[in-house]
Amino acid sequence: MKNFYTKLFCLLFLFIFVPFFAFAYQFTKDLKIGDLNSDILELQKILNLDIGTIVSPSGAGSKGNETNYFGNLTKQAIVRFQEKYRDEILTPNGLAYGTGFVGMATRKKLNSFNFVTTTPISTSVNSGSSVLPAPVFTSVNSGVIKSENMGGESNTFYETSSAERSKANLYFNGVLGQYPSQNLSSLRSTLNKDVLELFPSFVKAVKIYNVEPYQVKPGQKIIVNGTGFSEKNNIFSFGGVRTEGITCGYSTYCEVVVPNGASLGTQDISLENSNGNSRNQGFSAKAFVTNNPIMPSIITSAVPNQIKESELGANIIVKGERFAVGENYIYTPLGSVGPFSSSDGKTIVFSLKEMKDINKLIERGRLLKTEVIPLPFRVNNEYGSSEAFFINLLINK
Amino acid sequence: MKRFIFILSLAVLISFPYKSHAFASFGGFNLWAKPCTCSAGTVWYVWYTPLYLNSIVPTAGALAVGVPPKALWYANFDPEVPTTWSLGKFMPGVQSCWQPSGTGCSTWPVLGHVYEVGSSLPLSVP
Repeated sequence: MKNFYTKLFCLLFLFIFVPFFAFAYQFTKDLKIGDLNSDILELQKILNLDIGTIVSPSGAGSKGNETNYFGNLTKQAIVRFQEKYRDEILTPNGLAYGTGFVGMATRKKLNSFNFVTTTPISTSVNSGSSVLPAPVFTSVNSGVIKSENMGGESNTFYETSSAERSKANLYFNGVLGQYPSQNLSSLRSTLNKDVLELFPSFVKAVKIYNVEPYQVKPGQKIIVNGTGFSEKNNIFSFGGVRTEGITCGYSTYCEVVVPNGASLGTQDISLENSNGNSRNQGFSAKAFVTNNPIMPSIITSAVPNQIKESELGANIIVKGERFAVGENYIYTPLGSVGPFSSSDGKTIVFSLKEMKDINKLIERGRLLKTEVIPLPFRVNNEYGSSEAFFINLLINK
Repeated sequence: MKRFIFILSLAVLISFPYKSHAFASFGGFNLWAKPCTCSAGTVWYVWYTPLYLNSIVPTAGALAVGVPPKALWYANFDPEVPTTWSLGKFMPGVQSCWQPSGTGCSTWPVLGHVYEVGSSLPLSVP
């Protein structure tokens, strides 16, 4: 009997308790740009849970592609994190803007999440969507505790009260813990067969949205995003040059090799299969065929990334890579503005004032006492379309 | 030994993944909506603020709303109409809002795609 209880205890421990204890992560060292260690990996995972602090919407640093390197993208994400929790990290230290340096105050905030960075138990879900367990706030301190250094500045750190933690728990259970920001790669993982069955229009309508990357080389394998792919025997056309018998599976993208006979220059891409064809989809998806393709632009930062409605005309300096020297357009869900030149290929300056309907959006937000509206934007130019980047529009401020 | 095998089997069965769709519930106020003109079917990019996600603490964010969704619960009005309250569930992570972006169409990040929703009558604001 004793042996039985011993085994039962071991099993319970293994299946119930171990997963909860094994993955909590605590930051014990300051972190800064240029650092390379495992703390950065965990840091990026936390940052990627919040749509406002994601390290990168795609590629290195994006959700599922976190790295050990504290680069510029991580620094910018930390700045947004610090400014999001301004009252707890910056204001007590007399700072107006985020520093990008992970000092004591920032680490305390990160540690207060007691964040579970790895999904310890399979929570289900063969729908393919990975729902991370929500972080839990467990620290039981309150009041002003001590002065610490952050980025060379003397400061006072305020611990949260239990009421604040309770509120934070609710917030994170609802928002950050379960609904991490998504990008195109996560779209591909979530739209599997099970999910697609729930949304018949994703399956039946034959559409081509875009190709990734936009600039392609004959013989290069690319990704075509769209809907209505049949499992087998898809026919793609690159400006009239067909590639046939392509197997796409049951998804919303398909890997296709650009036919070697494709003409150079801008080409319309179309799809034909047993579900129909994309020629009547109402818009054209294009690829630029060249022997020397250039990847799309990358946005690394937008300063300021929080715009008060009273400062709508303020310049927003967008930093990144591979902006076109000539014409760049800023796209948002409200519409597009531009063109904007970029003499160094790394900087674009625009203002929200130029955006159509922005005043209507603000007016409605003001009437409804909205505080913040997250506004995604992307840069489009001859190299294609960048991934989306977020700025926050602060209303009534 | 039989008990051990029984409990082990039970533990293994419990820990097995089960088939379910990870829906999440939400409630929110439709501040603004723009059509996702490239998307398959009729889909709208909707800013909800406040937005409640399994929580009493409000936030703000965008969801893609397909019209009509799977079903309209307590429907008084179309959920894409601004200044309506919505209550329903969505599939987190599904990115279904595609809008033109010069060289084709691009997806706008949303928290997910609304699957079932009901809505109120719109308020009288601009």
